[in-house]
Amino acid sequence: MSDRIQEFIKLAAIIGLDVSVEHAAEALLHLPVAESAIEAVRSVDTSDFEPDAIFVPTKSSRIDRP
Amino acid sequence: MTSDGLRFASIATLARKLRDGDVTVDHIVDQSLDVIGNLDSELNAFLEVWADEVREKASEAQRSIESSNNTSPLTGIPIGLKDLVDVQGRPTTAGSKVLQDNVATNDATIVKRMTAAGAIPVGKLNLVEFAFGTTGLNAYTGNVLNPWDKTRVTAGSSSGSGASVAAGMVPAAIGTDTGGSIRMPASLCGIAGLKPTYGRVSRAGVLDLSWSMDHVGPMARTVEDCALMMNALTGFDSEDPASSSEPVGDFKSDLGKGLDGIRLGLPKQYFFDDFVDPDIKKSVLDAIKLMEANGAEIVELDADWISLGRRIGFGVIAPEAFAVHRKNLAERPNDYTMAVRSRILAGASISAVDYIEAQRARKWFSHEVANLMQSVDAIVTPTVPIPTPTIEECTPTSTDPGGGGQMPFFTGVFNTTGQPSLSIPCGFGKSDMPIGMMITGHSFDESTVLRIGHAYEQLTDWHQRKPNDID
Repeated sequence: MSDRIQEFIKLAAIIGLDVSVEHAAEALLHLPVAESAIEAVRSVDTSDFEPDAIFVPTKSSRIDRP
Repeated sequence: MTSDGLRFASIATLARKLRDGDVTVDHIVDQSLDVIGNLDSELNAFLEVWADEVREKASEAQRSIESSNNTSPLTGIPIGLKDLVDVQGRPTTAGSKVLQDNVATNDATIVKRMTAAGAIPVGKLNLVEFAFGTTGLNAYTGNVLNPWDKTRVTAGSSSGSGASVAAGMVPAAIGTDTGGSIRMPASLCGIAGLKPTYGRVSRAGVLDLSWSMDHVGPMARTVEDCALMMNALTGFDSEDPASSSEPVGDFKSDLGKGLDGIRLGLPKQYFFDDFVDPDIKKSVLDAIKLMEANGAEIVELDADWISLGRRIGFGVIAPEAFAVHRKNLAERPNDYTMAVRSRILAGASISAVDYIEAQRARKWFSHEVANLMQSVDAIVTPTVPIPTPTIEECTPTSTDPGGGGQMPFFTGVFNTTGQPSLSIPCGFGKSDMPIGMMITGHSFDESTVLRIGHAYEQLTDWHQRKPNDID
């Protein structure tokens, strides 16, 4: 098993997912796209840019039942 | 095969003929079901067709037209639904074994709105499993074939939506677009497809791929038909937390105003770079020249950062998709196809901090694009940078992710910003496959985007061409 596969399996385990060697090897084929995305994200100075609200409170109200 | 000229008719034409009594809803619906019956065993666009129910609804719609002179233009029009969209009592499978037993308990808001406008949903359309893929292939439900050349991909993920409209099975369909999944199949299948502004069309009852990037919109033969569908689809929906309360007007109102006074932005970087296929570049630049000759002003835009948009967007999509699927991936990983399981799993490599930074970078990027567009009404670019690949070239294996990975390079930029973005046909390229041009406007200004697209359609006949590989 390659180091990268082992590393991916450990990473998945940290976030609660048990990934087989076969599935980890398949996922590695797509890692360059994810890595390129993160490289782009980290190249931007985002200090002045909060995202819009990512939490919207759930509306509720009292309902009087007969 | 029916040949009375209505198989490829637009919604607007059908509505006029229905109103004038030149045709009945029963005839239109029978024709649609006939074409589906004749072609779908080969094209594989539909997962399910509701023939009996559709015929019942056709008779109701015909009675409605006969008893009122004020019905919606969608009355009696057959519509296909991508199988992410809930219809009460019907399975919503997302093209996956994982959801093969998932039966919807309610109609999606867009289904309620379209049926209230008189449209007749005819069935569920094939798609990329969970809409996570751009070539349109699905090893579980079977690949959808491109009606223009059955050896080539339709693009995706709204593969069945694109093929069904292009083949004349239905006049229009619903697609969803997280990185280009309405516009890419519209481009490769030679039809019109509009990704509205994020929040403009409700996602309630439509399965998530990436909740902050998912858009729902129309795919049809003409820009006017997209406008007619938008009139039915839009409006605030309290069931969708991202639904916008921006005012909604008549999306048809600016059609016919032409190109006088319109300023079109032509990006100097990225969208016309050397990696773009020369035929595609030429077709889009020719289209821009034609629009300039007919009243539009062309403004070159300098944005050497614009290629970051799609990559930033993927930094949002990948972890959101992983979060949506983590439970099912843990419990039944082998029920996913290899192609989509591996794509989703790759999202595990993006940390929570990087996801938050991606959302912040997305905000930065959206501000930059908004500033860039202050001098123009819309940006015009190719929809897809590469010629339509074959199914064989795109088919993944356990050691090769498959070709076609460049397809969403341009469309994905405008999922990151959430702007309205339309793909319309503007020529034919290698192997006589359709080429699409993408018109992207200011947020919540779909009307101008539709106006420009419609004006271009009046100058050309690309949108009237029909595939001849299916007769």
